[in-house]
Amino acid sequence: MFENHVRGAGERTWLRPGILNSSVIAFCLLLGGRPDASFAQAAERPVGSAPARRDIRGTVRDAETGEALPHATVLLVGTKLGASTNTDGYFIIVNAPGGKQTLQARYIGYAVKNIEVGIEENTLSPLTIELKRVVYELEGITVEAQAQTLDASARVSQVVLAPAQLLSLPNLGEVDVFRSLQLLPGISGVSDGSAGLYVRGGTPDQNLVLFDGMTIYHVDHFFGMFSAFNADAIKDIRVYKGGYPAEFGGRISSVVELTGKTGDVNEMRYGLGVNLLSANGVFELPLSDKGSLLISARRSYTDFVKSSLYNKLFDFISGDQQTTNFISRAPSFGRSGGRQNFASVAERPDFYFYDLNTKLTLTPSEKDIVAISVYRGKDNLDQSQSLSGANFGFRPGGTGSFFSGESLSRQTREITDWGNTGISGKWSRRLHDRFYSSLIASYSKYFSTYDRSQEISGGSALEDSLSFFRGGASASNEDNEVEDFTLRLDNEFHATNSHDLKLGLSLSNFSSQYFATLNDTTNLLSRQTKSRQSSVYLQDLWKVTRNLDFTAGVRGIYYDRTSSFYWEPRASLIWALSEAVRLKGAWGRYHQFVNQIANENVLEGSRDFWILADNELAPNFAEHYILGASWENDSYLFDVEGYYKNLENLVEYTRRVTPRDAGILQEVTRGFFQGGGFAKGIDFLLQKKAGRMTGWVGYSLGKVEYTFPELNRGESFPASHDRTHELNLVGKYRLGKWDLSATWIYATGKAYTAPESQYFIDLIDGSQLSYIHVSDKNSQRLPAYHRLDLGISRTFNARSIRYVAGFSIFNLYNRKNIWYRSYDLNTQPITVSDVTMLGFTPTIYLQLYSR
Amino acid sequence: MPRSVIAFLAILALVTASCTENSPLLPEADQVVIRGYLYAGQPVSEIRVTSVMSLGSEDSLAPPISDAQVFLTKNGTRYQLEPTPDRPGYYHYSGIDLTVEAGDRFGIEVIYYGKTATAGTTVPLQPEQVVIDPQELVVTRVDSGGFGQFGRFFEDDTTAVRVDWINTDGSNYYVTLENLETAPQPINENFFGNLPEEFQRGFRNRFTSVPVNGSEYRITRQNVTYFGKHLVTVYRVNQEYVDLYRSRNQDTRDLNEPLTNVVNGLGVFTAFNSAGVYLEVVDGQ
Repeated sequence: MFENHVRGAGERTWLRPGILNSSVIAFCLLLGGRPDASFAQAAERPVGSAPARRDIRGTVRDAETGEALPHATVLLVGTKLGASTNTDGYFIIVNAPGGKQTLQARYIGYAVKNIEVGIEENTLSPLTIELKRVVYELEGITVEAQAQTLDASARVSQVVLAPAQLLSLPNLGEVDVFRSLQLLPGISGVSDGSAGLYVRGGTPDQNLVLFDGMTIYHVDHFFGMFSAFNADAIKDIRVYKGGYPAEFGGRISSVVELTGKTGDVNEMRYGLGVNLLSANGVFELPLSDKGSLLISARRSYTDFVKSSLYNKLFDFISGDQQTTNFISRAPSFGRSGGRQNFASVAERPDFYFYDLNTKLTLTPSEKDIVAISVYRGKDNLDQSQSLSGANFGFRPGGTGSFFSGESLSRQTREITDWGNTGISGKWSRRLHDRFYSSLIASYSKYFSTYDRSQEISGGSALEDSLSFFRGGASASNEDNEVEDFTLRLDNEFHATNSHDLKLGLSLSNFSSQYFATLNDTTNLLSRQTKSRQSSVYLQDLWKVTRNLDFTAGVRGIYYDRTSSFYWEPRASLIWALSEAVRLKGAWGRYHQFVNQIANENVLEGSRDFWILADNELAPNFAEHYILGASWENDSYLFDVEGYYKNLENLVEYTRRVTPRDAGILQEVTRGFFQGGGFAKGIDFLLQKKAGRMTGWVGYSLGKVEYTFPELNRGESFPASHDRTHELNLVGKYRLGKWDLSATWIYATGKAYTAPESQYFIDLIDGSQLSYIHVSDKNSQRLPAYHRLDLGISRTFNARSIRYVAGFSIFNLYNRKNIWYRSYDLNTQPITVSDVTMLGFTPTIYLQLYSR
Repeated sequence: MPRSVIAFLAILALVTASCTENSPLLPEADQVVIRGYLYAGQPVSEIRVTSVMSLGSEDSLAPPISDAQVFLTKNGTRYQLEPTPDRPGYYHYSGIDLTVEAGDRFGIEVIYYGKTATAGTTVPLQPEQVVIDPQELVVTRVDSGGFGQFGRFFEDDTTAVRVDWINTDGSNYYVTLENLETAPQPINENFFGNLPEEFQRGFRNRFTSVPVNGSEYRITRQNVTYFGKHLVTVYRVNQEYVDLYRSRNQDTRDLNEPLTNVVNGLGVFTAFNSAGVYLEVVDGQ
């Protein structure tokens, strides 16, 4: 532990004459500024002597668990000097004024703490600032104020969410990190069935999701219903909605940075929870003053017990909740037949998901922290069926005849597995009070396997003809993997009290493979791609004046598949006009070298695949412009930000091709279209931060428009996730030991393309194909989306355990929001059905935590 | 209850009440559908104009348009086509001064109720050096055993006729196999005799591939269903014809306008050039 450490005369010091000292001074000179005088003196001082400076440094920790608090704010009251802790909780305020000063530390979800420090040269030891979490009872006195759930004021387009506070918001069975983020202005969820984040006109694959430094590719469970992160394992959630700094790269829309809990360093703790879908547990173990271990796991029991909630959710994701508007009268021949979906299967298939987080944090010396974080999340869908006799019949493709037979049976084994495995190792070393380095090695793998085999058997003469058409015994497999191995070195250098430098470099190896085979012998699709990215970044937070912070940086990337360098300059500023009012702005250029191609048929499990940019499929590009202002006092925050994003080389994938056609490799590639567009909008946030009633009103006015030369006759069209208006009302009310909460969401209906008419074309062989003529792309809108959710929870405190029991209602007034409009093109007239989203859905949960 | 809670609920009720619905089905657009095929070395007779149909229609035949003004342009010269008697919706050119030759650039104009649909295409070159191997396929007649024997027969038989041509520029090709007999004899009478009529249709007389951009195609034993003389035709086809196949699977979750080279209308206007060879399927019994 390095807190309260005073360096002795005979003790080994970080300072080695030569390279580091010279390079540190060189950095200062590079900035165009003068190295801090005291620091320069320190650099010249012989090894072993104490530095002469008035730096305030230390760590911010949770008072109860001893966990370091990342991204906490430490300010010198009455001055403009301050600092943020890094992910290891370390901070330094360089060259503070002498004399007695008040240091204020704050962190979301924790009570603000002021401490008095006497600052004299060479006398200030590293501090340990302990913050107390705001809970229901603080030292036996009931606290009426609530802990903040949201903090959106600190930086441009940056929002921080307190994971511990999410439990009291209405939920859908699971406390969900990403779904909570969807309540923020500028972040949409698009549908009840998606935990994906559409940030300011971006798509989910344009978000960089980092968990303890590793990139997570698959971020949800249950076909997208829930995010794949257990809130109990997360300490800090930070979203950069745009204009993010040069230390982040590889995505063009946003960054979601999740910092995992390290675990209690003082005593063993545990927590358990159960709801209608899953059970979860968290276990924290201190390792005799040398670190801590945290294990957190969650698993659904939906393969053993199919609760009413599971059935309801499954009906929803299978599109079984629909209202038919136009009844068909006759089947149409000539289109593909023989399809079977869940609607025709009486029993819902088995399904489960789990996730596991393990984090081992060690502090081998006062200057070193080693953390190993492991994440594994997986979903499994078992659609195996055994059908026989009267239950079994089908229509061969292209015909109107329906075959069935008493003695026929069909055994189908159909299992889909998908998920993400990640491991990261981080070694952080405080090379000097002002120089902090982290070396991170991370490995992340997204996987998806699909295994299907089918056998048709029976005794009638018909069986062989069926075998002929359907393949008799057949098997198909699909394997999809994405691997990302990254080695990264991040450095923080607090050069002077007006310059905080960050610089780093990274090397990533990325590989993606997709194999589809039929009957183990026929290779339908074999796609394997690899790439290497080398990145370097440099950024400086320059405190220009007492009221003006300017951050400038640049990121350079070499991408081997295009053999090109990409430069990404970034800049942002915050100008404090007064204590309460700030103006802010940001600009930046971003590239993305990988795209996720989503499989729209969620019932097929996740067979999404990631495709790498190359010379034919140019890397995505975005340029962000952001301008905003905020006003804040102790009780309220009003924040407004306008943005414009220029988008280039976007990828649209359309499945208008038949995947089983000959030459599938070519056909799949031909499904890609590239084009550009823009996203623009304005986000308003009014937050009530204090009192019994807290919450916020978020409103977004936005427009996302694409132009693809090969789509919509080259004319612009709204992106399918374009939402003109989006309003989120979030309220939390404290009533004794009860927490009441409500959220109400309103959004403009989804843009969609509607069929207008049908027509036929004769081919040269005399056969006929039928087509649907459609409206301009995405020119129609579904009805507006809105719903009200309520949550109520109560905390019970026993001697050694704290219980939280909760009840939530999703969609209280049972609004029939339309997910999508389904057209059955196989019937004449065409059948139109509205597939609706989740209706009134109550859930309960119980969590307990050791005290 | 605090005022803030009441205000929250009031706003909620107000906005909820203001929601509107819209119609799930749009009225069909007034569009002409062109299916214009030009064959190198043949007269212009396969130009067809139809209209779109309502989504609610139960017809499986496209409504023909026989009173449109249809013009072809070739190398700057405009030719007016005439409606073809007894073939509703078809148009032809009755003169002898309009030929279709490889490399010719054609345009089409269809004027109907003041609206003009246009398209253009170029006649492709004839496929080069089309050969098949073998030229005679010996097949054993299946006259007993019903479906079962038919199915097993297909599984076991790996015989194929290989069709080759030269393709140096990545052009697209389309292969058809047509039985030329006036009274063709099926290889398996039991099988075809017992299948529903609509299911037999695809097997009878003619087999077609999907467009390929290689230089070979394998006609497997399973593609041959009748004895006798067959014509294997290799068509060199343009991209607009390939696009018909790329557009044929329209998904309800991802509806896109089918690819078309017709401006201000729908369908396809394209040209073909072909070369054929004969294949003899003989009874090995």
